[in-house]
Amino acid sequence: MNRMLNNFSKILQGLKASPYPKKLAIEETELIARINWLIRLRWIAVLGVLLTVWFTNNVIHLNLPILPLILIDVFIACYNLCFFLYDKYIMFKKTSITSVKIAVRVAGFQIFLDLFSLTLLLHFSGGVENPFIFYFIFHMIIASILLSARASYFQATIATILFIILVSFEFYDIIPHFCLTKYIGTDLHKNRFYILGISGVFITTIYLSVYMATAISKKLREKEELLDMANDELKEQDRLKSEYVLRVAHDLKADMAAVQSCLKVVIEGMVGKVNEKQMDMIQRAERRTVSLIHFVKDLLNLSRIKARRDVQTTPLSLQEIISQAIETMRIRPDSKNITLQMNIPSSLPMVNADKTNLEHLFINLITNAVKYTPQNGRVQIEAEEKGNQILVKISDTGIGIPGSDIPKIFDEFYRAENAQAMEKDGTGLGLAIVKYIVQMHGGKIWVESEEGKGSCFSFTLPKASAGMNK
Amino acid sequence: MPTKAKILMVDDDLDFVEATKIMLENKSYQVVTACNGQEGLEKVEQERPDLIILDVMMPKKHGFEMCKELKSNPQYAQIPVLLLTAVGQNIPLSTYTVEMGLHTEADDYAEKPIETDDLVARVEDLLQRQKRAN
Repeated sequence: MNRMLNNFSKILQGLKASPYPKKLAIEETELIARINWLIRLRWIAVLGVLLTVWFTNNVIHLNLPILPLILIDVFIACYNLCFFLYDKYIMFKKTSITSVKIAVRVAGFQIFLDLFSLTLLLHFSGGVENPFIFYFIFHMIIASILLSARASYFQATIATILFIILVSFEFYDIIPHFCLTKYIGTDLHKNRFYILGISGVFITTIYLSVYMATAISKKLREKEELLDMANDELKEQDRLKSEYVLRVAHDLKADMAAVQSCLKVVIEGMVGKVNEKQMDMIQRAERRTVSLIHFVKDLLNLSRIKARRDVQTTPLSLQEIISQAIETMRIRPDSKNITLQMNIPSSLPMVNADKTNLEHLFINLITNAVKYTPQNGRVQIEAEEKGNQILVKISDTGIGIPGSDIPKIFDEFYRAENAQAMEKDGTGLGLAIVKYIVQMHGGKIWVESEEGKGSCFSFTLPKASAGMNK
Repeated sequence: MPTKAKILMVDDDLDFVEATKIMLENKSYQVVTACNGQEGLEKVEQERPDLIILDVMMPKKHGFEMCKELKSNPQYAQIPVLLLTAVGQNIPLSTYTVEMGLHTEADDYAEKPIETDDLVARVEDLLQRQKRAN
């Protein structure tokens, strides 16, 4: 039995530790989608440049150098086409981890080309005088969305360098400067063209920035919702699994009951005499059957608790519950001459808890305390009010828990070695059930123990507020 | 203590029935058996037992249903019924719950597996109560 329990607990530990490969599929498709979005935006930008140039020259009658501007626009359109085709190529091929890395690098290169093109456009349309210089902001937002933080800051640096090159080269006459101010003059606030230009940049910058940022935050919220749903789904799956275990355990118990009854009948001598050797073997069989029945009962308890969807709590008196638990316990403390001491103030407020489960909790903890305490030991139960919770402590002068076992002591099917040595009988589920019940009520449980000296289990339960009846 | 009381056991688990029958006969009770609810009701009419031990999960008619029928029949309503089951309390998806049992007015419930002494004690207790009621 103990070997089986050890195997169970090892399996459970292994399951908890196993790292699952990260869900790259979601990030991949997200990235590809956003790069598509960038390429689409760029088509719009190409059109936008054409429109702005036409508008500036034919409506405002600012004579911008059309040829260089159109050529740059064609250049942008060309590289956008290349990226568009490359993107289609990536989507056609099976995506993998490395292709995501490549896609990110390509996105970075796209943004760099955009920065370079914008700088060129600005050079031919007024340089530092052109309010469209603030359009660099969009590329920074796009970079922050698509790339890592480090890559984004890198792009910001590139943008700054390009800006400095543009402004300083025009300042030092390394490259020619196209002057806007000769059209505009000095009273800027009175100048229609200037106001129009600034307003155009201002309004488009504001709305486009919000559009870009909200697209991302909306996606984030959607993802959060999906995560919540997935989490709920997982909890439900776990609950269904416990229900399944419940049904299996029931079938087991029915058969075990029949086996035990038949064996009992022989042992009690109701079907005739058996010789010593026969009796010995049958008694061994019966003992193992009883042990198995306890195991199935504990498993049933645990699965039943885990399978429940809700907790029905009522205000309960701790003294009553503990007294009932002590009565129902299978093991008798006086059989080992163990003194059971209860230190519960009569003024202690009631707890808000589920009656059956709370009884189970105390039965398990007190049974453990008695089971693992040698003759003439002592078990003490204390309770006190702590804020809006009740703190309960169950301590014993038993064999204690070795330091290395303490972190695992609440695991399912886990039994410390010294416990196994002292008592062959034990399922390793008692404390798991206790922990589950405490957590079900929103409380915490912990243990302080020293091997050979004893253990003290402490846990919190919610206090019942006066006059509250659920 | 009634030594010749007749007990009807209705359960489809033949091994358990056999073992329990031996246990009860050892205590001088007379035991008749049935293996499903339908047969159980027939045997009640035939044998007129003093106590019925009823298992919940059976084919053709399960324990709760049979108990309900018994208790709604004035002829048999006074016969004490002990519901025996391997089913525990509060199983959410199970078709059988103790709450269901509570509504069927069985006189006592016990969970399998049950110790000989416990079973006999409950049987005797029920029979005593019945005697006092009459």
